[in-house]
Amino acid sequence: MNEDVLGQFEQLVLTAVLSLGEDAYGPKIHEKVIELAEREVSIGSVYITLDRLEDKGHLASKPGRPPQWGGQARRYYRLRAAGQRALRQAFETSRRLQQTAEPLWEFKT
Amino acid sequence: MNETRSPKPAPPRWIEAFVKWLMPRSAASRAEDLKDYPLPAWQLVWKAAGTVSASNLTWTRRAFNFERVLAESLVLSTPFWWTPALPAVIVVASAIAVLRVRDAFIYPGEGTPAEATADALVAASAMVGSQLLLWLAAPWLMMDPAVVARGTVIGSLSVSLLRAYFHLKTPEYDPDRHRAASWFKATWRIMAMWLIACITLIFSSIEAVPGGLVRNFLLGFCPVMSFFLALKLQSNTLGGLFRRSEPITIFTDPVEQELSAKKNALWQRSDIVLSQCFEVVFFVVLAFPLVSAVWRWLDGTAGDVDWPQVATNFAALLTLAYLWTQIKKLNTEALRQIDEALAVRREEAVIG
Repeated sequence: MNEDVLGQFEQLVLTAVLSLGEDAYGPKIHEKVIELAEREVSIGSVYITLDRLEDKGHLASKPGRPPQWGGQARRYYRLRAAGQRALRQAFETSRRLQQTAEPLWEFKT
Repeated sequence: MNETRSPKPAPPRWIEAFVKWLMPRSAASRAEDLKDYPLPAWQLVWKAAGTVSASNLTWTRRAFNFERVLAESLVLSTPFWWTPALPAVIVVASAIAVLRVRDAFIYPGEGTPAEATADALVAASAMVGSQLLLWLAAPWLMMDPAVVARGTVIGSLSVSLLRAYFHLKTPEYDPDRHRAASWFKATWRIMAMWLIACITLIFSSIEAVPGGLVRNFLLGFCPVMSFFLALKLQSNTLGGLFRRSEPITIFTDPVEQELSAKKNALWQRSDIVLSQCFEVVFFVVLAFPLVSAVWRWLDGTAGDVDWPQVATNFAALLTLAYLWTQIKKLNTEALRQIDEALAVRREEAVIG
């Protein structure tokens, strides 16, 4: 099984984490994924994907500082080298697909 | 990564408490994430349900351990050995399923008496609960209450002891280590199966080409010895194959040592001539009875040779030799995975 091949939702989540930089935690990632996907996405699917990407070694997470007014520390995510590599590979594939398909669409329309 | 949030309108207390109660220990911080959604209670309940179910699903998967499930199934089913199979399977399966969710809740587990007691209570509740559900849905599958009571007491107490032991040995969640360990385990399982096939082949060849007791003993003993000698000689360590060879100090990373020990127990591309010699010896010994059959035929003393068996074994030997080349590739890939895990670990130790 090639763990470097990403599904579309995984690409969305990784891109969201990448774009949020130091501020990538659950709800922010969820918000960014909705913005990128331009559709409603459940928080559960974002968490499941984050966990799966962490298991694959594409993401790493660690707790931030606990809030001053009490409560648990949030988990912040960041891209690892394997994640960056996989995302770049996915973008290159998408670019190739686009380059192949676009002239055909123009011709048809 | 500093916390710069300002206090936001908190979700209703009952939702927060409920989510905290349902969330696995390792995902507790996600209850805090819900505070970022300034939504009415009924909408927040949906978000909470998604968060709780996703976290439970992930941690049930991460905490799943096949050996533990096997051991618990054995322990729980023992009191039901003399009862009808299907009702017993339902009772045991219910307890096993509920214990998986409990594993997710308390991962990695500490093996404390409180945890062990809770484990016993959870297992017992699942077993009794399954009977209550059957009473409502399919009464003909229910068991005799006395048998259920006896089985529940014996099963839940023994499973709680077993789990206390397992919890003490459960490592913290570490995806790199886990991935490297899975590669190692899978590679060694395949190597072990291949080795068993080789031993079966040698015994079958001994039967097909009868010989003296000393020859048979040597043919049975030498392949295993030469395989492990070849494996041992290529790893530059003292001690056994599967043990850590260095002392643990406060400056050493035990996980890194564990991964290095795993590397040493895999088949590596060896430059050591003696190791390569033993690899050759292994296949020579494996082929020896078949070659000796041909020798006897030339010599005119092959009356007791089972030729169809010799032909079959020769085909098996060729297959095993081909499989060995594939197993070596698998070892190389497992080594790459372990090296990657080690590199990430070192890199992250530097980043802090």
